[in-house]
Amino acid sequence: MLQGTWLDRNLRWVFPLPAVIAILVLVVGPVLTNLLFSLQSRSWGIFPVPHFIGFGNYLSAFKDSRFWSAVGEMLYFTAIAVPVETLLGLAVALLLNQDFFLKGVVRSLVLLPMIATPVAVALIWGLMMNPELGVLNYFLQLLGLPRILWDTSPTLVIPSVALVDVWEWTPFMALIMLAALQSLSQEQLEAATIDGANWWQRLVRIIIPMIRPAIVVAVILRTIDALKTFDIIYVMTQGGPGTASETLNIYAFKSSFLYLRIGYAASLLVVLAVIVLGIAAFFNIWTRGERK
Amino acid sequence: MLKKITLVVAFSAFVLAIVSAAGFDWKAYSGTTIHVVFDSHPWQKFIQPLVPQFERETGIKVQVQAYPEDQFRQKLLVDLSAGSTGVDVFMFMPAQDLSLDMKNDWIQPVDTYLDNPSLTSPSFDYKDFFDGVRSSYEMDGKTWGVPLHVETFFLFYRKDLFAKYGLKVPETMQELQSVCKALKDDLAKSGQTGIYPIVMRGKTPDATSSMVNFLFSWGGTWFNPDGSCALDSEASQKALSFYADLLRNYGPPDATSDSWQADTQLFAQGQAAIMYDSNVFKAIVGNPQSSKVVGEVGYAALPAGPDGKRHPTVLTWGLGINSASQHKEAAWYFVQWALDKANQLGYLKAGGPAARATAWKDPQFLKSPGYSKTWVDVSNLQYSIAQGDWNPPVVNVQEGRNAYGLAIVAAIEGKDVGDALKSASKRMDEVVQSFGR
Repeated sequence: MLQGTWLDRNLRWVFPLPAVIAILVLVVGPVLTNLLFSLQSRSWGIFPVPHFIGFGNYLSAFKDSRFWSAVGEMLYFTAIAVPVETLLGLAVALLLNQDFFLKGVVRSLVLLPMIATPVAVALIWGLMMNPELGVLNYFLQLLGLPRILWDTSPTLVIPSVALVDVWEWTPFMALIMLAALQSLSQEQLEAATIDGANWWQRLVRIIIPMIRPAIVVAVILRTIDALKTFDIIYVMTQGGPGTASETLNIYAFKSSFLYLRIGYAASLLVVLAVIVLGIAAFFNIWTRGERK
Repeated sequence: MLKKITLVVAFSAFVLAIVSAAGFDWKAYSGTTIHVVFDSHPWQKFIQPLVPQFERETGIKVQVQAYPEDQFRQKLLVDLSAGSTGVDVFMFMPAQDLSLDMKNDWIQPVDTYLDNPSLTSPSFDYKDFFDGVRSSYEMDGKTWGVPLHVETFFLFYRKDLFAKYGLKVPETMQELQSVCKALKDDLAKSGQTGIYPIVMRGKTPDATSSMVNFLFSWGGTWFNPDGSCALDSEASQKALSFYADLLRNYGPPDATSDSWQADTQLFAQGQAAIMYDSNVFKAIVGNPQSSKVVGEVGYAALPAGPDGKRHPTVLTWGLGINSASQHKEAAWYFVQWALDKANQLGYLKAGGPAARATAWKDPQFLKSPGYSKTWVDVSNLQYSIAQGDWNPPVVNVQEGRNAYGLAIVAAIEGKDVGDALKSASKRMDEVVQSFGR
């Protein structure tokens, strides 16, 4: 019935149209608007009057010591969280790959932190880390160790929030690696055992190289997410004490919602996007080179 | 002749009574729905349960939204800047919000309502609000809102601990320091290591509101006469060193993460001997439901600075109307009702420092169970001498507050006070350059 009609001839354009519109409105539009704003001096209202200033926001950012400190905190946080999550994730995946009683139940339980809402996680960890009333210091004291300031210390705050990130996202790493482990063929491992390889040799020489693509994917995904972490840090410290845990994302948020500088915040977010893309591209090229 | 005048006066009074009785009708906007946005605040906790009463009296439906302060400010910023009609009445602080709201035309002047007898109830009595507080809402010859509360920072102290160690309530800043030192030694000697001599704000930007009284006590100011920021002055450095040393030596170790939430909690749990914060927090530390030390709380004025004078500031919250509101008259009805004499008295009785003069003299308040004469006397002493510029007088207040707040944090962490204030000053100059004063 439809044959020969306009609709029939153009079906290949009509069917994807809803998806294309959705992407234009929800992704392309905001990204372009953000790029445009990043070239403007712009606040929330009619005052001061918005106007174009070229790359002025970017130049101010590069001269702003708080910007550099935010980039530093962001990289520091990622550099702690992602390696620890990778190693712990691998360990958990290896454990869960064994046969043991109630295996199914334990596997589900291990995934729970990942399912929890980050804001709720951050609130609970914040309470546990409270130096006066928190349960973590209570346990430290029971063990005869000194109390520590956790997320209220300028030097410990990034490791403290990274600890929460590790708690929440290690299961994610473990899940991806476990899937890879389960698809490994047993034959090579058996052959290695017969040839006299011990547990460690099998792990380092066979298992890790074989699940390497999965590890790389997991690391890329977590790195991108860790660089952009907002909820855990904002809920626990709002970037404090002072600016000790102020990552680029948090500084951009404050620049816009507290300091009324929408144009400047937009430029910070463009820089953040460039850093994230750059790191992702680096991983990609690096692994592609290895595969050849 | 006299008879004639009496007659005229009587007649005009009669006419006035008729006009105003006929002119003002609480039911005039029955059927309207208004949206009000509140900060989570002692006043909001007091008024929100009473809103159904307003709905019954006026027939106006009220949708109340209350958020913690950060989210409250973000929501208002987004809604007001978008010209949203979904907000009719909102809470604001003149020294924090007014110049930005005015410059962007986000807030509606209320003079036309106040002066209109058919829109303002004859019993409203606007002049009953404290003179000094009313003036905070007046700018460019217009009135931009009505005060709901007026607060000032002073000392809360533990009478039992002061008596036990034979300490005198500090009258000067030097005495405050020596009392803290004595407390530290005495508490350590009697094994009371869980009690800090003093708690006060150390977190940015909240600490700005408490530090400013020290700044003024040492003779510091926000700006120089030439318009440049004066926070790097010698007076300002001395004031900040004093504040930071006090908190570092005699306060909790995590002071740079603490604002009033942590301070009032520590004090209410009996873990602090002195708390320096707003008088509104009597509602927490003087309330048996939230405090373990209710019977032992003493109140004392902000100690005098090196010049021998006290330099307190006064802060006020009020209600404003969104200039984009579609229901401004109904919104004004809500403002009038929420801040009428009965509700201001009720708020004062609940421990909140109301902004109406008559409430403070009402026998019902003087005989109420939570009444404390010292709290009233000290509050009134400070109101009578206080300055209103507890925030940097700039349009972009949040960034200015934070610039100073970061210097306070750095000083408490033991960094160089001069350097910290120099960068705060530089930032403030930049804020003025971009947004004006």
